[in-house]
Amino acid sequence: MAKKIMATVTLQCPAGKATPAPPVGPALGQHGINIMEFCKTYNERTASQAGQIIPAVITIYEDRSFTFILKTPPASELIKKAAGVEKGSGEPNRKKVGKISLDKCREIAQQKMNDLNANDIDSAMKVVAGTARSMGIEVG
Amino acid sequence: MRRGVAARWRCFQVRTAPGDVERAAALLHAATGALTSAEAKPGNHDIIVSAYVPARGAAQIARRVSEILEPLRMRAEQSDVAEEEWERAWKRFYRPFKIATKTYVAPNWERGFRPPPGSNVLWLDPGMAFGTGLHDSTRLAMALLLQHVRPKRVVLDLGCGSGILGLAAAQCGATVYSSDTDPIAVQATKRNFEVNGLRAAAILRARGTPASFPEAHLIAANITAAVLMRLAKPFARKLRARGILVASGFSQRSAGSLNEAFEHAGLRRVESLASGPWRAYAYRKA
Repeated sequence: MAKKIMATVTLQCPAGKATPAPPVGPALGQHGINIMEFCKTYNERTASQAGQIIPAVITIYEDRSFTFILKTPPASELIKKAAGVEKGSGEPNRKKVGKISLDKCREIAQQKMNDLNANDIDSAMKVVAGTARSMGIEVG
Repeated sequence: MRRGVAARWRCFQVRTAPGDVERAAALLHAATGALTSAEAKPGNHDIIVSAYVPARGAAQIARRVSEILEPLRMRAEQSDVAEEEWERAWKRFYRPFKIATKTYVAPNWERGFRPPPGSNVLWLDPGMAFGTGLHDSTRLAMALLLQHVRPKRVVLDLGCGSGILGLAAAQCGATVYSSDTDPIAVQATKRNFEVNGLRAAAILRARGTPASFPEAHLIAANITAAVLMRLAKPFARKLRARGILVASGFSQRSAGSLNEAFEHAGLRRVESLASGPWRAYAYRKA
């Protein structure tokens, strides 16, 4: 019989450099997952992507065992990279920190299609544009 | 980030629909500067997105979170969390287990555990250091170590984590030197030697192959592929003639290039173990 799933946790971690500090420690510790064992496996699998944020989607089973898959970097990271900014705006409604073109928005949407639960490229672009705006980055 | 006993964190949590997770995570990240986690539970439609910041200075961040979320009709719940809460949480599920033939690992807080007659126990409190013994890389390294370790021989445990491999070597009567770059690992190793009533010749916070450590009959290194590869030559230099290197912590993916680096450094592979994607090799110096 298949093992019962207790929770699914998506963690944003720096590739090759996950540590027990938040968000890893609290997200996994509460489920009885051995935090360092996760870090070791994650760091080994992402070592070649150092410098990027690579999310891990961890499926935690009732017996405290876990498996995980790696995803593409979060939309916010791709947007920051495309806009050439280090971080989003602390006041996105008042202060804009950068801009990305519609083409770039489409490119990010395409890259993120599978992770965004979007049915088509237009709805994926809407999610990416919404994320960009909430970071104080204009699209267009 | 400091990882001490008294560290407290402020947690900001946003409840959101599955399609909105990326946006909620981006907003929380913009407001807090922290990386986020998102959790889904079966039977629960909403996803909870969390970001943690050190509790000191959290008030200012809390204001920024409200400023960013409120115009979007979103709200973040706040709570304070002590680091030891998650450090302790996983320990509830850490139980005694057999790590190798006639060798058991038992958490230090389960002193009632009695192994079968003729078996050894390593008492362990890994804390936040790597090396509970449950990871395949540790099991494989342990199997190779126990096969080659001899009493009174010099063993270096480099990247010692919880100290587990050095402890096993010391229990066999070897003279053990342990080191790690992480102060938490050094502290854990010292504590674990003490708890087991064993003595290490030295336990140091250091990189690579510490100059103060003598040439070894056996080096155990359960690290990562990149670090192992970088240390191939220093390992070879630190081994006595016919000495053994136990290398672990790498997967099938990096095994080929790693093997090349070690052979290039003058080490000959004498044994290979595998478990899932993980590999551990034993090498002998010519």
